Amino acid sequence: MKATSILSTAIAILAGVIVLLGAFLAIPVLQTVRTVLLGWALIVAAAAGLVALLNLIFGVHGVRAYKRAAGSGYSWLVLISFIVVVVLGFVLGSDNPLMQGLIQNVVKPIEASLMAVATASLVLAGARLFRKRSGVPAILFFISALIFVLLGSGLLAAQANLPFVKETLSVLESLPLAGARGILIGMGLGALLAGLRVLMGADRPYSG
Amino acid sequence: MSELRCPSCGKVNPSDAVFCQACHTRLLPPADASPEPIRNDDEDVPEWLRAIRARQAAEAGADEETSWTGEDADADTPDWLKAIRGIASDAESESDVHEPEQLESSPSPAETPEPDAQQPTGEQDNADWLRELRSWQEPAVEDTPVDEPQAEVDHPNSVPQSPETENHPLVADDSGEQAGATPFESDKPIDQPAVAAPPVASPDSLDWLHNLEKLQANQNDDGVKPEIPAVAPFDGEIPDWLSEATPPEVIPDDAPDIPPQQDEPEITMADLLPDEGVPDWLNAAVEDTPPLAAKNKPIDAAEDDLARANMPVWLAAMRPVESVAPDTVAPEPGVVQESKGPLRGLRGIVPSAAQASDYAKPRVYSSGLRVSDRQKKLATLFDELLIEASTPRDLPSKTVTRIPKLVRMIIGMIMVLAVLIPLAAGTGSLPLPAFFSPETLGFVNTMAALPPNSPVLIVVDYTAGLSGEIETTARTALNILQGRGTRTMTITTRPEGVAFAAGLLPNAQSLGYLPGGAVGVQSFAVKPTLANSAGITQLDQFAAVVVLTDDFDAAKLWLEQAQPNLNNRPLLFIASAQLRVLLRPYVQSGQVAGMITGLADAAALEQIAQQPGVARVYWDAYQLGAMTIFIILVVGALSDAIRRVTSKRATTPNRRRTV
Repeated sequence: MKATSILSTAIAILAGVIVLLGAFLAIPVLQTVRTVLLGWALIVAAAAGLVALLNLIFGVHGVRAYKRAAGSGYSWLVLISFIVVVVLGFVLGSDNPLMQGLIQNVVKPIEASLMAVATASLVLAGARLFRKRSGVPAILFFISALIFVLLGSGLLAAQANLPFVKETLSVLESLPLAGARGILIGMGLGALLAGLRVLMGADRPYSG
Repeated sequence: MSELRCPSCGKVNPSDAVFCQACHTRLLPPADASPEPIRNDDEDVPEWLRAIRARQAAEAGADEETSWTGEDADADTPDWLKAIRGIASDAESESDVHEPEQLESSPSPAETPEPDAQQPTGEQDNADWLRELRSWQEPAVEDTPVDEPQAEVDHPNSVPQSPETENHPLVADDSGEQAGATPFESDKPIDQPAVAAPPVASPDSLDWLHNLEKLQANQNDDGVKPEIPAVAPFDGEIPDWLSEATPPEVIPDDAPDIPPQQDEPEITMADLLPDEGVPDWLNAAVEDTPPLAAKNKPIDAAEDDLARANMPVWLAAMRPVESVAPDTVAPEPGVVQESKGPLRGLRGIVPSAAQASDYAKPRVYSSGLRVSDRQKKLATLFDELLIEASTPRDLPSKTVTRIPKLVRMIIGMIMVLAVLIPLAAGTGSLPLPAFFSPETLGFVNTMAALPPNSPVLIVVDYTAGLSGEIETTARTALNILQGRGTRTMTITTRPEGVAFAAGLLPNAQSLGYLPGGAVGVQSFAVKPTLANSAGITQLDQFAAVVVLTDDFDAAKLWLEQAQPNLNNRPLLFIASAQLRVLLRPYVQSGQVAGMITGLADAAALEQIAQQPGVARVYWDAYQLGAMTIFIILVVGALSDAIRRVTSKRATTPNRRRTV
C-alpha cells in the first residue's frame, strides 16, 4: 500500500469524522473546524467544476474542432458561444439584462422545446407499446399510465363533488406511496452504508 | 543278497545294479577298467591318503578275501573279531564306498600310533574302541605287498552292518571274555592283514577325492600343510547310523594316484532314463542321438594341468532333452524356436524383435505432417466454415412496422392544437379541481402563518426544460408571499438559476450561486455567509424556506442538509408533478410543511386563495392536452390489439372440425 494512499485515506476519514461529529456535538472547536473544512470543500468543488468545464470546452470540443473531425462545426459553435458568453459575463455581469435576455430567450426555449419533443415521443411510444411488448406486465403498465394521466389531468378532481370520486381519488393517490417509501428507505440505507464504508476506509475512491 | 550303497546319495541299490537308481551314479567300476598302480611318486599327497590309495589298489587286485591268520588263528580269534571280519567281508563285496568325512577326519597313518597290545580294561573301553577305530583308518599297507593274497581283512572303516552287534567288540559288556577278548588285550600278535588293492572307484565318485587332493596341495603361508582335524570320538556307544554306515576306504599315503579315466563311458539316453516306461518315440530318438561323450570331449590330461572336469551323471540328467538329443522332439508346426539370443532353443515364446546383432539403419521419418485424403477434406471444410463465419454479412432487414411520418405529424399536430386552441380562445370553461390535497392545504396554511416582513429564502433549483411548469405553478404562491410583505431572498445551486431567479422574482434579493452541491448546502445551512449581507447569520433566522425544483435529488439535498438546521422552521416545496409521489412521504412525516405540485395544485391554490392566476389560463389547455394524450394512448393500444388479432387469423390455417 503506497504512502500517498495511506495519507489520503487518513485525511478523508479524519475529515468525515469531524464533520459528522460536528453535526451531533455542539463543541465550538469542532464546529469551527467543521466550518473550515466545509469551506475548503466548497473551494475544491468550485475548482473541480471549473476544470470539468474547461475540459469539456477545450479538451473535447476544442480538440474536435482543431482536428476537424466529424461534427467539428458544432464544436466550433460551442467554442464561440462559450467565449462570447464568458466575455459578456465578465464584462457585463450576471445581472445585466443582456445576460438575462440570453438565458430567458435562448436557453429556456431550447430546453423547453426539447422537453416538448420528449413528451410527444413518450406519447407515441406509449401508443406503440403493445407492438413491441406484450404480456401482463405491459398491460399493467399501460393501465397504470392511463390512470395517472387521468389523475394528473385534473379531470377527476374537477368532478370531486360526485359520490365516490373523492374516495377513489384518495385511494388512487395513496397507491404509489408504498413503492415510493420503499425506494426512499433503500436510498437512505445505501447512502448510509456508502458513507460508513468511506469513513472506515473500506472504499477509497480518492486514492490511487 | 547283499546290497550296494550309493556313494553319492547313500541309497541302497541291488547288488547287480551298475548305476544308482536314484542319482545314476556308477556303483561298480567298468569291466574294462583295470586298476592302475598306485603311484607313490607324489610327494604332496599326505601319507594317510597314500595309505588309502595303496589299500584300494591292493583290494582291487585281491581275488579272495584275506584273513588275518590261518585256522589256528580262527580258533583263537575272539568272537568280536570274527564278527568284524564277517562284516568287513560283506562290505568289501559291495563297492569301494568312501566316507569322505571319516577320511578327512582320519589322521595320517604315520601319526596314528599302532594299537598297543597292552590295553587297560574296564574303565578305558572308550579309549580302546577309539584306538581300534583309528587302527581301522590306518591299515598297515606299507608292510603288506600288493600282490600278496590278503587274508581276511578287518576292514578298518567297515562297520558291521548287520544289527547283530551282540558280540560286537565295541558294545559294552561286562563279561570278562569280551573284555579280554579284545585284540588289544590278547597276547597273540596280530598279523597285519594284507591290504587288498583298493577297488577302482568310478570317476564320478572320486571327485571328492580329487578335490581333496587339491586341498591337500594347498599349503599355509608358512609352507606347512594344514592339518586335518581328527574326528571327534564318540563318548558313548556307537550310534546305529554309524554302525550301519559303510566305513570309507582309507587310502594310504603312498597309495598311487588314481589317474582320470581316459575313456569316458558313453552315457546314452537309455542309461539316464529309467528302464521302464520309455516311450518308443524316445527310444527311436535315442538311437539317433550321438553319444554324449562325443560332444563332451574329454580334456586331455597331458595338455592341461588341471584335472579333467567331468560332468556328473546327475547333472547330465538335468540337462534338457533337446541339448542331449536336439532332434528328439519334432518341432510343432507353427511353433517358433528361438535360434539366437539368451532364449536360444526355447520354443513357444514370443518371437523377439531384431536382435542386437541385427543392426540396421534407422528409418528416416519426414518432419512433414502426413495427412490422408479424408483429413484433407475435413480440413478444407473447416477452413470454409471459418471463412464463412468470419466474413461479415449484412443481416436481413427485419420488417418493422413503423408509424408513417404522416401519422406522426398528424398526432403532433393534434397535440399542439389541443393546447393552442384553448390558449388562443382563453375561454376558461372547464371546471377547476374541487379536491384539495392535504399537502396543498398545508402549504396554504403555512404561508398564511408567515409573519409579515419576515425573511423567506427561495431556493431556485429547476432546469430550463421544466421552467414553464415550475414558474407557472410557483407564480401564484410567490405572489401570495410577496403580498404578505415578506422579504424574499433567492439562492440557487445551478449556474442558470441566478437568471431564473431574477426573472421569477425580480424584486427579491439574490444571494447568488451556491457551488459544491451537498457540501455547499451543508456549509450554507451551518453558516449562511452568503446571507450575511441580509443580516442572516443562521439558517433558522429565515421564516420559511421554499424550494423550487423539478429534480428529486435537489429536493432531497435540501431535505437532508438544510432541514435539520431550520429548527422547526417550515420547509415548503413547489415542485413538478412528477415529484408528487416521492415528496408526499416527507410531507406526511412532517419534514415538509406543505407542497404544491403541478398545475392542478396551483389551480387549487388559486381557488383557495381566491386569486385567479396563470393556472386558470392554462387549465383548459392543460386538460385538453392531457385528454388528448389519454385518447392517443387508448387508440394506439386498441389498434395494436386489433392488428394482432387480424394477423393471427390470417396466418393460422383453416381448422377442420373433428367430430
